[in-house]
Amino acid sequence: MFKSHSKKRRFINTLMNIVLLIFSASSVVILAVILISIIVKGIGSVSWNFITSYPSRNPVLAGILPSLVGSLMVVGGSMVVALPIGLATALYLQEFAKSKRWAGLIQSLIYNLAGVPSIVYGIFGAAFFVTTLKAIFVASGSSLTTGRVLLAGILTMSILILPVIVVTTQEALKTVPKNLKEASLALGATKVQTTFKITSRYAFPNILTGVILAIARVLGETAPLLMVGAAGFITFLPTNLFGSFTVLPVQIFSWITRPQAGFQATAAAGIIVLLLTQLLLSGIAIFLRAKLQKRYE
Amino acid sequence: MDEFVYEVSNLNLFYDQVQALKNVSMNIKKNQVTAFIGPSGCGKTSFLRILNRLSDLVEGCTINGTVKLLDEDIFSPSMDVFDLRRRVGMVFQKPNPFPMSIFENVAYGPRCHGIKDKAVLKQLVLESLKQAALYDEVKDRLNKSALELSGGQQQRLCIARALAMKPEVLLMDEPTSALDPIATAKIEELINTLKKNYTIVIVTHSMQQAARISDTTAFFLLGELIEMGPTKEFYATPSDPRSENYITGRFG
Amino acid sequence: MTPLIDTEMLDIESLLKEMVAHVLAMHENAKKAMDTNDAAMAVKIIKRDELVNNLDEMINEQSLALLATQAPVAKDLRTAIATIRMATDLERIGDYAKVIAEFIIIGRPVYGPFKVHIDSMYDVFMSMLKESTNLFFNPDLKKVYEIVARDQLIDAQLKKAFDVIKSALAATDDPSDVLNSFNIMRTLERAGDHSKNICEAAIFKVKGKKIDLG
Repeated sequence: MFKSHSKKRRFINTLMNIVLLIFSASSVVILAVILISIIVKGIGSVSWNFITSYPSRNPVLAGILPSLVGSLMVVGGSMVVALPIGLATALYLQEFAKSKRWAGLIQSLIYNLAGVPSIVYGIFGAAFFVTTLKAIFVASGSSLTTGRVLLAGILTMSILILPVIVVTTQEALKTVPKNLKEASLALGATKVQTTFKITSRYAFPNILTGVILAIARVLGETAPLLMVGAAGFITFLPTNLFGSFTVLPVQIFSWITRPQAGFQATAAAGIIVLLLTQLLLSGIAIFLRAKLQKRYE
Repeated sequence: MDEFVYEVSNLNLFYDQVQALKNVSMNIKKNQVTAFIGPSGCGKTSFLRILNRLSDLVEGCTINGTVKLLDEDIFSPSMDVFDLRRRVGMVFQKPNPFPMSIFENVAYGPRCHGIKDKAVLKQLVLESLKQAALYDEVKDRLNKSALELSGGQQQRLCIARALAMKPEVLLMDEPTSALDPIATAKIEELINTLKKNYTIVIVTHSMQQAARISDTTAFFLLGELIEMGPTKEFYATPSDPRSENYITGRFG
Repeated sequence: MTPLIDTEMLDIESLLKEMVAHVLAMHENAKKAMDTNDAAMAVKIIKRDELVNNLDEMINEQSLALLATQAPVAKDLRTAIATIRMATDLERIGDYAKVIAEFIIIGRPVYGPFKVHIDSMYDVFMSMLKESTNLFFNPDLKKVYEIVARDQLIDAQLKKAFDVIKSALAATDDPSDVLNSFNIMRTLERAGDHSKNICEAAIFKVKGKKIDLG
């Protein structure tokens, strides 16, 4: 009774395998094509000099140092601001919220925010952080005249990645098996003790994954940072919170729009540096995660 | 009453509108094994969880009636629920060791309650592992992960973890249902030894297990306590026909 | 759906009922054969005892298997144990019919003066046997005491005969008939005791306790 269909089923099975293989392969192929074309274009310009120099009108002399430092500052700063708030929010929503209805409401608001286009955050950042900072400067009589400073960039990125961190952390917390929490409480531990000693530790690797995603997101943002003041040509290191700044994607964008042909290669080189920075930062986070996972296993 | 560890009167439990326990009254004797039996959904596990107030964690859970642990009402505001859970330990159906070393697992409870002295902790851990009949099997690898142990060993670790709190009562929710027969036998033997120093309450689906290891058996059905009495009498000549039907397998 | 244990217990119960039927028949026939001195009937009775012994063995085996595999509790457990005890008593009672049959085969008559005692004892014993075996399958605790009381009637008859036996022995040359007939009476007295045991088994089935009925 069952034999007659097996030939047809096997055929469909094999066919689907091939189709899926083709689709997966094509994604890889597309990715490879993009990477290879960039590397080919830019690898010649990547050098230690490139990394340590400042931008110049001459494409050959142009360097990426300020934007590299700027990117690291923005990433670092936004993490410092967004991580504590995001983690605390996720912990509260998942573990401590008394009313499930309110928690659910806040949760869906945050989840929706995670899907808002980055440009909206840029608009908000420009309208709020930039103008507020300017007002503060004016009111305190300082010599600063504009709100388009590094701090604005950091704050804008913070609220951009906040929903991402809350969502991924909460999802990580949801994976903690209920019976571990019960075991802890049954031993007489308080909710706080259980949350910090058991739940957070168990979810930590996954929380770290969320952090990796957030880092990648911040590194790659261009438009919102443009709107709050990332400049295309900076000749000093943007380490002053109240000073001008730029980031890698903005610098790359500015090079690409230059008419001189040489800047194309420079832009490609910038992209390579951006990718390498991304890899490095992610790599550090992944390494940390692996190490911590081992300790807790 | 010195011989009773728990005195429960007229206990009713509601999950929102649904009544899960109806007017349950019972006394649990000291240094004995009391078994709760009954079909699925009869309320025996819900009742067990009230004894250490794990029921507090369930939303929409309403309780009325009194539960006294050694003459203290466990629901009174003066009862420290964390101390209650120290005095009344619990072991669950599926062994749930923390993803930490064996030593850290057992030391977890005391640490949460403020014990920091390394020597004291070590003493507590070793003693508890010995009491749980696990020490000999793990003494060379206390720093290894608890997750590497077999199912039966993990369950004994969970028992050691509870014993480290120096409890008066041990609550066990189907502790051997996830274990093979040999591991089960080891734990039943352990329970028999532990009852000299602790009062043990065990919920079990296996009537044979209840018959083998308990001194007193309580039969629950649809949220009511139908019959409770010395195990030997209960299994030879039960009083209530519903008990008889259940233990002889004559009902669903 | 019938629980497995019911099927097995019903099997054992029908074996027991078969045993009861055989033993009742054996004694009815033994009494008749005694009255008519029917040696051929006596031989059949002795053969039948083999069947009874086989049934006893089967009941023991199947009960052991039941206890080992079904782990019966409460009513089932009490019934299983009471069944084994009743089978043992029935087997004994069957043996006594064989003893009487063996006497009949020898061909000597019953000692005259004892005949009335023997008849009376046999009647009481048969009624005890019928009712106590009935009682086992339909326990009625009120009837138990009444059945047990009849055993005293049997004992009384035996005592009467015993009082007469000295003079009976003195009055005869050949004591064998007197002694043989007296033996039959003692056999019937023992059979009555075993019927009483069947009542005790019936009580155990319900109460799980042995009550000494005297």
